[in-house]
Amino acid sequence: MNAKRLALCAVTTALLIAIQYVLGFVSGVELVTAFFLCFCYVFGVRCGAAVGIAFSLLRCLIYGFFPNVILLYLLYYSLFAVVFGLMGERPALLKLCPAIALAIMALSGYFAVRGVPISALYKTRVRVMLWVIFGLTAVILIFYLIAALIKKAESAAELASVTSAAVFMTVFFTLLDDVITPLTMGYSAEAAAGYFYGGFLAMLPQTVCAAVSVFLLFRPLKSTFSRFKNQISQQNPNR
Amino acid sequence: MKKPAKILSVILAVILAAVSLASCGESSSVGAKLLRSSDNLVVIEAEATGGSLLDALNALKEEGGLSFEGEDGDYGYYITSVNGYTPDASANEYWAIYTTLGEYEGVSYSNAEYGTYDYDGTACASASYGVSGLIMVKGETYVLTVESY
Repeated sequence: MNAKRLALCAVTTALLIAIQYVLGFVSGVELVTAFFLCFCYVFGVRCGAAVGIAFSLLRCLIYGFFPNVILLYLLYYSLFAVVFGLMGERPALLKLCPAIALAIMALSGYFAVRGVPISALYKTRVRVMLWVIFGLTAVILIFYLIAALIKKAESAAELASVTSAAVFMTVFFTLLDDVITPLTMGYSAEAAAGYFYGGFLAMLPQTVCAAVSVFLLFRPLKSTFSRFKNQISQQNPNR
Repeated sequence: MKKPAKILSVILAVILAAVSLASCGESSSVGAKLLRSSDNLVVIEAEATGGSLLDALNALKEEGGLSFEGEDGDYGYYITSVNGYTPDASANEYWAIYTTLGEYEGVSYSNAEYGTYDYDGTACASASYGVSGLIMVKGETYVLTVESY
């Protein structure tokens, strides 16, 4: 990694922390996923992992040092960098995404029909959000299939694939937390189950936000990052 | 590509509007008795079933029994100050919620593994939800107290 790339990683880390801090005041809205996804997609696994690790550790200066949260962030953002870095480097992986969208659609539909054992005051909200995610993933899937049928629509298929992967990763973040926190806090199975279902409340709006923000911002952010990447490459042709 | 993207953007906007409307809280009049109200402890007993602890706090606030402030967060309404006391963030203080309400209609509303609080011989467990997620059940006790982590 050359000095310019290192500087870019540092600036990106600072921007991620700023984005998380500023939007922390707006419930259910987060743009870290969309921004970091595009960065990893363009600059690859190495730069992505460096930013992911730096972000996971440096954000503690604002939010405090809690071992379970640090572990969660380090694992999640490293894996996030690998997933989207590889997707950017190997476009063949994008073909896996419709299957992921289908799986999320099936899971959200299952929980929406079955119901979630959550506070009676939140049941309606959670059910509506689950149907929204079901609908969103169905729309993404249909969009992908239409794009796949139309010639020269690779970018549309890419957009649908990346969006469905972002939805999956947002759900995965909560699921990872549902494993790490009960383990580090020593919860019983009953308490862990309560923690799992309580997590639906925050996970569902974040998932909808990730789907919408990635769908709308992926192309402009990818284009911006690609321009930076080209400039760095031209100035350092041998690196 | 441009046309499907526009159509999808409109669909997403409609879905987001529907979600916002569905997220509006349900409220009802709540019967609640204020057992204690100070700047570091508030104890409430439900006299009727229905509504949330937040509804009860709002009703008691209107009657002048207590004052509180808060904000909506990812996990519902988050209490930031009660009776004029704002927890000292530098000392990691926060308003904790405890209740005697355990499992109700198949849903667990508290868990002693998260923490316990004893009020006048009444054992309360740490609530699984914030004030907007805790349902008021007749005879159950609800405690708000300042704690630090």
